[in-house]
Amino acid sequence: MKFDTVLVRYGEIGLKSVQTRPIFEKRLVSNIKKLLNKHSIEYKDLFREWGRVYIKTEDENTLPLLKTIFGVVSFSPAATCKADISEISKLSTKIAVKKLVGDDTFAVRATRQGAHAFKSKDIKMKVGADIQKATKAGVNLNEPSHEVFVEVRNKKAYVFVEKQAGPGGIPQGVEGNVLGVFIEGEPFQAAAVLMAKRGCEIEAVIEKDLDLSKLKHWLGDFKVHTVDSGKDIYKEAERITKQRELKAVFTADTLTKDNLDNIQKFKKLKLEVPVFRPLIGLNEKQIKQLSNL
Amino acid sequence: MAKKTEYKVVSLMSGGIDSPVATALMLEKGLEVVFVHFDSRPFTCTGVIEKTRELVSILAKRYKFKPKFYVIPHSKVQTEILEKVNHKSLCVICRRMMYRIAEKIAEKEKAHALVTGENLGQVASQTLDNLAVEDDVVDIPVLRPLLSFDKNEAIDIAKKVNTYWVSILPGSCCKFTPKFPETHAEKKIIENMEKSLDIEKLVAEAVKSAKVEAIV
Repeated sequence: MKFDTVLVRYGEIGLKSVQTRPIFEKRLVSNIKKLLNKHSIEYKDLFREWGRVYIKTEDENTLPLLKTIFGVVSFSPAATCKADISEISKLSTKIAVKKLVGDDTFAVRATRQGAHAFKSKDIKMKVGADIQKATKAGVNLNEPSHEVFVEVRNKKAYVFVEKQAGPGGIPQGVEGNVLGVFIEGEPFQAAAVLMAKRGCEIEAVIEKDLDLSKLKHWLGDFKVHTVDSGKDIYKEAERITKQRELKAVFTADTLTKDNLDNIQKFKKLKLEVPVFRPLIGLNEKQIKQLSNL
Repeated sequence: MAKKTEYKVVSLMSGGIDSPVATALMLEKGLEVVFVHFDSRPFTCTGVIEKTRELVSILAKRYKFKPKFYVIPHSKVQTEILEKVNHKSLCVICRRMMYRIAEKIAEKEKAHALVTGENLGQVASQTLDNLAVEDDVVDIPVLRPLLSFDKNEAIDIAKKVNTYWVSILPGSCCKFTPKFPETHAEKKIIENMEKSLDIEKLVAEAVKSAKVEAIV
């Protein structure tokens, strides 16, 4: 489908209180802009309205990038037209004809904000009838094989047929900066992705060169500190955290049926900075999945 | 359930969605769990403790063990905090008190860690700064299995382990929760505020007044 706008939804931020919500939203917008600019993606406009972010672009490469931006719950490439019911129906039908074949069923989902001479129900009826005529597909409101979404916002209408999942979580940067202890053989990638997903900017401390390219695809570039040989990596992490005024250290420690002894290790590690262990609630399968992103 | 281990943890149970889920994840791994509930009546409704009992009972049945359930009267500590510290920082200081008291229970129980349902960034009071300042008052490790979970992920597990339907029953809010709670607590400022509290005495009294309840 040819699109001119990408609608971005960011569910969890919606839970935030009045005081923190704008901070989160602004950060999400700036994170999206930063990544699009980095990949030289052209967009005419990028703004936040009605609890959504709208990106005015026709570039297909925008879509895979949105899957790596924490805070994005889902997104839809959409075509736009004037908030006029016959234009909406024309555009919706044009899109539906490419998507639907005879055996398919469909439903029109419409919402509306602003002052218009028609109601959401009118859109559903008109668009539904026109699509049916053009495609011969049947209407099924409960379990359709396809959905056609129409969102009317003041003078504009957005039409789309797909919702792609984003990674969820919170925009990176809103919680502050933390330092990951990356030890070879430990699932540090999984730990780092999770901390980033909960809003943290990451730095890392390593003992020797590790392949961090996959992680950098997800998190962007980040600062890596290498420990001098013979020094304790955790003590170094503590020192760097204090020196750089980072908020906490995180580790890739796990707690599974087979390594419950790790709990002794947690007790022995006494640092003067907070230590977070984002993987301890996960099982082996989940950790593996995150390690293979 | 996995084989019983020698590793024991103390779980702080609130009656909400998250703490039972965090506890279930730890039980799943085969840790032994002792429950602690801070009873804030009359500042919360009776529904809270009833819900918590029910949740403990659900977990005990699901993971087949006989639960040990400590109830610790908390309203005295809360009254003290309310009288003596800045309203905005109530929650942070209240949690620091709960951690300190739970650590004492853990010592008594020879437990290896505390478990909480806290999460990073889901609600205003659970920011990186706040969690860090809470951690600071105890030596025992604090395990937060849900640290990196989105809310809907915790809800999915709550439904799976059957605690969700009890957790969402009415009765969860502490009536002192400030409208704009502290979101970026600073250790030095909080420590200063706590100078007006007799921490040791409050902790000792709380531990002394703790009761172990039978759960059927």
